[in-house]
Amino acid sequence: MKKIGIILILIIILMVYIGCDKVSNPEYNVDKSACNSCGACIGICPKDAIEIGEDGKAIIDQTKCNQCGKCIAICPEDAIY
Amino acid sequence: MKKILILLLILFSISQVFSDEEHNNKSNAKSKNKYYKIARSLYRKPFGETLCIPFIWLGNLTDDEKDKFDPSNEQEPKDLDQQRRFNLTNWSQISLNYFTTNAKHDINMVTGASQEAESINTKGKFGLKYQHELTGKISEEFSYDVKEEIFYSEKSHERRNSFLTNNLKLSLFYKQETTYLRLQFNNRYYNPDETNFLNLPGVVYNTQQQMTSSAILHLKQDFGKLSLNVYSNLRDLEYRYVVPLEENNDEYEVHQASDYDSYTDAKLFFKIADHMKVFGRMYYKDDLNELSLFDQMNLGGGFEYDNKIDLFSSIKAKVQYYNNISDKINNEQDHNFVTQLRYSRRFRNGISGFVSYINRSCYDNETSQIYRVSNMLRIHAMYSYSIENLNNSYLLSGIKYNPENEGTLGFIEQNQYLFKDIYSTVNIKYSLDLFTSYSLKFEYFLNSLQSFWIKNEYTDFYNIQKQNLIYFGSTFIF
Repeated sequence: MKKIGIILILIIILMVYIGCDKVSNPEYNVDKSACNSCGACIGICPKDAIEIGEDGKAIIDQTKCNQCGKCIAICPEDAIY
Repeated sequence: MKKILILLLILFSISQVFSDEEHNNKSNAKSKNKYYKIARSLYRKPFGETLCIPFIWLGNLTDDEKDKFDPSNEQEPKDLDQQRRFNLTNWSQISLNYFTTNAKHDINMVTGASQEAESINTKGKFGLKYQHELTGKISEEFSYDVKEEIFYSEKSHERRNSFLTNNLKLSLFYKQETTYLRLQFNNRYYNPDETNFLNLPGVVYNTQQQMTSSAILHLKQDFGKLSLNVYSNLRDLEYRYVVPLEENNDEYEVHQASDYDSYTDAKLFFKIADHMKVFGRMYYKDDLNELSLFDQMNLGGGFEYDNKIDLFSSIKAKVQYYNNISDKINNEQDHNFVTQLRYSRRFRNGISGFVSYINRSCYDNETSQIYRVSNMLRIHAMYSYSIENLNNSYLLSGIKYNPENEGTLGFIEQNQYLFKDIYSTVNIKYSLDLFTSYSLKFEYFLNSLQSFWIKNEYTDFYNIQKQNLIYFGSTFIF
């Protein structure tokens, strides 16, 4: 049952991926399982759009982010996607 | 250069004073390995490979360790029971970086403007970082945490916007069986780089943050199968901005300003089965200065599945929907779906790894279309092998596939024991769209807590900047 559920989710994701257009404005988010809370992204963000959240991991304020991508390049754990 | 050498010599001398015979006592090998691993973790993780941190000093990691270096203990040992009651932990770290080569900087990474005249000369420059943390218990329920981090750079590195950064965190915790409460105050102070602030070619309006202060309240409460998680952050950003007095004129007028934001994130979980929870979430961001343009509200919910199948494998899944209400974000991102899957596996022969996938999609009411926001597939595999007693040699490789945000990359890293306590670390990272980097490091361990090392790192940010940096330094742990 679990395997069927996972396979169904993967098929749906694959269909979405193949059949859908990319959103017009890119959006960056943080993979919390990869973030090590170093805060390098906070220091580099020119818009001050990144803050440490409840679990100590970085969160991005989407209303402030200008998608410059500097945080992607500096993140030592490649946690921003 | 002289300053660096003098500082290194002083610190080395201090280390030798503190380098008690106990460090060489084989009976403490287990304890030493523990500190060694803590130090390796601190030294690799918080600062990452991107900021060169060759020199690390850790002090007073635990009370027991502190007692070893306290001369008064020889005659009159402290009451360890009393110390344990207060559970005091106190450690410090100081690090120094020194560049022996230049980092040429042709184009500004933010504006894309040509910056040949402002190419950064890092040769002979150094930076200093100091970190200190103190945690303790006031009573059974109350505890506190004080964390201080100071970063100073003689020359503003292109990845930093400040010569001096001071980050202070004061936290007070209240913990009971079903209740967790955290009150926290954060202050991040920047002493900004005037060069980067005022001399950005082609920029007529620029801002630079000077200080951020946050007051945080975090509450978690369990009611059996129901649990509540509320996080609130009130933040003040002090910044300045410049406006040219006249067009084509080099004279600027500097303005000072404040920006207040309030963030609230509330979640209500309900456990519906073993390993599975459903939740509802409300996130609200209020820009207290501006009109409602920068406000944002998310309302939604989903379910989480977290199962440790056995000692060697686990699986996690999360599916979430939220409605995004904000004037700043496009209408096509009003309805959002997030799906996360992660499977990790560990084998007996030293091989471990995980596969993680995150999909973010959105639905536009007006066009009745589904859009891709972001897809990320991450696969990591690690092989740990033992050549020496510390079992610290490993081979790690991984890929991250993220086509929407140009984040696709692959990397490989090997940490290898060579001979006579000398380690080498090779790291190669290749990003399709952003950069390629190679690094090689040799590290000599005087003992499990002290080391010297030299590192060469070459990075090519495609069409922006190439740099080859050689750093040297040492690591000392007490």
